[in-house]
Formats: sequence, structure tokens, C-alpha cells
Amino acid sequence: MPITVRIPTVLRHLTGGSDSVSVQAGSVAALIEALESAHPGIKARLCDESGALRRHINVFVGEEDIRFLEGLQTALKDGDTVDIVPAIAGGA
Amino acid sequence: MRFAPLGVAGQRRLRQARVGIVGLGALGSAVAEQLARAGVGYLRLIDRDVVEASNLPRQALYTPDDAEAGRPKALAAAAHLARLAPDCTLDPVPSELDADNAFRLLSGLDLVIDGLDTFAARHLLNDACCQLALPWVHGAVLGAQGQSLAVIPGDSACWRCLQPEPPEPADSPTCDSVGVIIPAVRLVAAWQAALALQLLVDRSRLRRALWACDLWAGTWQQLIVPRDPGCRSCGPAADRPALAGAPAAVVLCGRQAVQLRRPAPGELRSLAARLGAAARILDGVCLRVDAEGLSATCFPDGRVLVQGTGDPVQARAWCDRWLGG
Repeated sequence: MPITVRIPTVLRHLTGGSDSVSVQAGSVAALIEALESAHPGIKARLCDESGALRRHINVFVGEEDIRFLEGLQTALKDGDTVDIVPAIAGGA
Repeated sequence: MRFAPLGVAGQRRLRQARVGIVGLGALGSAVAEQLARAGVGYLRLIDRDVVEASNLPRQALYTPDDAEAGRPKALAAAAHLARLAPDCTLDPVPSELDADNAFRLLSGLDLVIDGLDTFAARHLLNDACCQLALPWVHGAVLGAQGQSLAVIPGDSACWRCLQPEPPEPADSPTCDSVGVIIPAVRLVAAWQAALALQLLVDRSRLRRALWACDLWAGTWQQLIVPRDPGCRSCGPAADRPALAGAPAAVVLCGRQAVQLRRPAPGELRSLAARLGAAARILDGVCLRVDAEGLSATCFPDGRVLVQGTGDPVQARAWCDRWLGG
């Protein structure tokens, strides 16, 4: 069973408009590589040049922030849902 | 009053509550209206901006007359809320929250609502609230997505636990670049208002999670945000860096507008008299000047909001010419 990734509005132009995609990966780092293969350009929006997660992006596995788990090495299992949650500035 | 979790005692507590709202755009003005109607006894309405015609589709508290006059949002909001909720004490503050005035503007409050539109301002609000042990409710919206988080300093995770540093501006799209739909604004405002009522009346059911919704996808999550022991706002070694300084000139997000800091304008009447037909006084406290295709609003705190240019150099030169060096 693959992993479901919820894609925020600001990245959907890279996923053909999809708000959710499925990938196979054993860790968050592998998941980002799998996303990049399927949707080129997305990794640069998530990670900086050193490969670290950009500071306005929070990634949650289940309901937990990976910064408080194992970071990009956080393990994934089949059926997990991953939320990519960029901070939002707007009071509109 | 009939809603059991509030009851008569809760309604009384709301009547005694003092709430600050920082940023009176779409979110802040919508939360302000809900809290005023809910019976909150005192609202301090803090905003740095003026009403523009482009605000009206999503900022329902304001009218075309406000936009025509270029009224400061804090004053326009107070005037409209006074009619909706005559028993609510309204304290309009047409200022920008900054490192110098944060403690003064937030003093004596029980709770603060975030209606801000920049990360820098939100980090400042968080640092100030952590220092004052003042609870606040974050809200933000973009496109069809929204987020909210209740922050109780020393108890729940704060904004900086989630977002250790403000992002680079280039990394953060705004409503100007991505747009926003009004239902998302209203949903987030409702969530913030409900959290505010719980914070004021009954914290036992308060959700200490980041609530994130996507109205277009029809999804929402409550995501767990633990406290960060190394947090620079609320951790044991907090240094609260946002309280360290204030920028001099700010180009307002996605708009042809620049905010400058100048000496306070002093006696408005004499300045208005000197400028003649180019100037008029707004609500007795601000001065609006229209000249050479630009317009400027001078606030009592010394800020000048120049509209019609995104170039700080041009804005400064214009101010020197019209308002004096």
C-alpha cells in the first residue's frame, strides 16, 4: 500500500493540480526523491541547496511533525499519510 | 448564554474580557465582528493600514465610503463595530506593532488575535506574547487553505516552536500572488473566534494542535506541535530576537505602497493648512495628502503610508517635498 502525500496549494502547479499524490518510500527523504522523480522541481521547493528542509515547510507524518521525530530520516510505512504544510503569511 | 458550555457565567466572563486584534484585514476584521457580537466587553483594534477599494470584496466590515476616504482600518473598524455591538468598548489604535511599542500596545489584554499578514510581524507578536505570558490565536489563509493555532505561553507550543525563523520572503507566496477565497477566510476566522471563546471561558476543551484545512480539497487535519525545548521565544533560554529592532521602510506586500517612519506629524491642523487643498484630516487623528499622483496617510505614531509607488526612494523624496524634511 503506497503512501499518500497531501500537496499544498502553492505546489500543485507541480503535480498537475492534484491535491494528493501516492508514492512508495521508506523514509521522508526517500519520499522527497520519489516526489521529485514524478514531479520534477518539487524538491527545490521543499529543500534548500544543502538538502535540509526549507524553514517555512513543516512535514507531518500521521499527525506528527518530523522535526520532533527523526527529521528527513523519519521512517514511513505503507498506508501512512504525509502532510506538507508550508507556513502561511496571510491575514488576507 | 443558552449554549451550555458558556452559560451565564461564561457570558459574564466574556463581558469582562479584554481582547486585542492585531491586523484588521479579512481575518482580523471577521474575528473582531464575531467577538463583538459574542459579547466580549473590550476590543483593542490595532492596524497600520488604510482601507482601499481592493480590500472590499473580502473585508466585509468596510464600506466604499471608507475606501474613498482612505480611512485607517482601525478607526473604520471601530466605527462599524460600535453600531453592531454598542455595549463593546472599542479602542482603535492606528499603529503598526513593532519592537518599541509591542508591550504598550498589548498591555492589559487577556488575549490577542492574529490578523497579521507577514511572518516578521507574527514572530514579533509571538515573542512579545511569550514575554508577557499572554495567550494568542494564530490564523492565516491562502488560496483555499487555512491554519490556526492557539498559543498559551509556557503551556502549549508557540508559533516559533512550529516556525523557528521567519521564511525568506521569496519562499512565502501571499494572497496577492496566489489569491484567496472568502469561504476560507470565514472558516479560519470562525475557528480563531471559537478558540478565543474557549481561551477566555473554558480551557478544558481547548485543542493544542495546528489546525490546517483545505476547503477545495475538502480536508482538514489537527497536527501535533510539541513544544521545542530550544525555542527562542518560549524555551528556557529564550532570547526573543524579534523584539530587538524595527525596520525603517517597508514595501507593503504586493501593493504599490511604501511605509516610512518619520518624526510624528505634530499639530495636524497647521500642516493641513499649509498644504491647502492637497490635504484633509481623517477622523481627527490622521492626515491624508494627495499630490503628484501619489497619496499619503500620516499616522499619529510617525508612520507615513505612501500609496501609488513601490519605490522607497521615490516615496521618501515625495515626503520630503510635501511633508517637510
